[in-house]
Amino acid sequence: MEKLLLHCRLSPGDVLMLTAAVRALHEQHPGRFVTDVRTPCPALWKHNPFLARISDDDPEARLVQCHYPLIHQCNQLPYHFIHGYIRHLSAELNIRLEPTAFHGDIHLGPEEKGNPVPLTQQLERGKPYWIICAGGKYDFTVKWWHRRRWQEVVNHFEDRVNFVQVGESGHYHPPLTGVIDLRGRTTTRELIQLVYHSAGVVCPVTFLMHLAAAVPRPNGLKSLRPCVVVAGGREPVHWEAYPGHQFLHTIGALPCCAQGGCWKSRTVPLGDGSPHDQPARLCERPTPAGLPECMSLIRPSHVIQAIELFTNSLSSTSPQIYTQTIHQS
Amino acid sequence: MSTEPVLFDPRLLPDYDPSLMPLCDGEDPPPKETEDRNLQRVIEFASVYYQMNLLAARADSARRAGDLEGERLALEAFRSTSRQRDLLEDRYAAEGFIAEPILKGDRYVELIFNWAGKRPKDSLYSKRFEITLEL
Repeated sequence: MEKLLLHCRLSPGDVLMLTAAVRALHEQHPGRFVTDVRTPCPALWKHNPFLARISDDDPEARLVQCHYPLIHQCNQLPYHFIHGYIRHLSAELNIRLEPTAFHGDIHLGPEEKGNPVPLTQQLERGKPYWIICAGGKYDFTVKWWHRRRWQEVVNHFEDRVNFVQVGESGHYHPPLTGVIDLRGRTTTRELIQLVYHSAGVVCPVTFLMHLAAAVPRPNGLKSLRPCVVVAGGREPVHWEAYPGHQFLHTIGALPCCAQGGCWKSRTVPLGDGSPHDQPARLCERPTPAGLPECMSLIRPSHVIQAIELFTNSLSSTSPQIYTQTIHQS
Repeated sequence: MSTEPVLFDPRLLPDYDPSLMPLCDGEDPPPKETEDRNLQRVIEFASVYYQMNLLAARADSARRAGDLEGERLALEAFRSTSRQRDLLEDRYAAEGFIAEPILKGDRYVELIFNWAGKRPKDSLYSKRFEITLEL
């Protein structure tokens, strides 16, 4: 058996996509590889049945730096992010490799599945809740929606939905009112557990969106986890959207994303010395309120409507809207 | 977007009351003369919350004195200042500058800040000292 040591130094969302590649590798080539990983997010690999311990100095181990160069063609070719690492690994190992599922591969232990959600004593026991992420990292501020718009969504569902706000400490996560505030208070495993027990997720294009698809549903539920994504025009829909997600986007509706995602970094420069402040990486159409126009076009009513598709428990005969394009009025 | 400060730094006023000034990440507000863009914003937020504390205290005093008109005027001014706070939040939202207030009783006692490149445990402004060793 070939020993593989897979290295990836990227963000949690990227590493989560790598879990899908490892799953594909072992499901399509059983018994051929022994795999271990070196990533910044070991918590994403807990309980993963496809990993085996390989030491860094094992002379038999082949080190593979994992990338997803497919992203450079994502506006032209019909691939999802999930193909990224799979294609790269396929080329590196010279084997045929295809996705085996349309989501990342997260595993939970019995204690995580059985125990109540951590840190949520304020939740009414047994009452469903949605997870809300109202911000993100400082490197890609074009992904942010306005805090008052998020608040409008929360206010709309005041009597019907519990919202739990999450976000990493040190990132931009403006406080919302009327939510259970777990910003900066969850470990990655606790976030996974939180997602596992949640009724749905509402967020920008972020790690949480990938988790919403990758974390299994409790009690053997086969239905897809509801997730509403406020996406705008940064990424092509087919590259990011998962089955069952309400992916609110403007691709094709604005000049700056007429042919695909713009992949810009920031709405305005932040003056922190980051290369993301370079003019070529800034939004071409910021509004006076400081939102990218693509994000500004997505109104709270759009997000509310998308959540209500799930919370109103529409009948199974209702059409499932896979993605929703927001057009200029 | 305008970069004009919303409020005058109250520390420059003759009747400045330090007890009404919220701490900023556990410390006094940055020096008035700071040229650091983020620290200037810290002062802006501290100033607007100082003003809200001042107006809440005025409303409380008026209420205890039975001055209903004085209380009404103070509360009206408080609401106006809180709208200024909202404008300030919106002005810096695109840059991800956040000031989260901690309310104790009816007073904002501290503001917790976050902005791009700020490390969570950073002091708001660096402290410099020198010692001379005789060799």
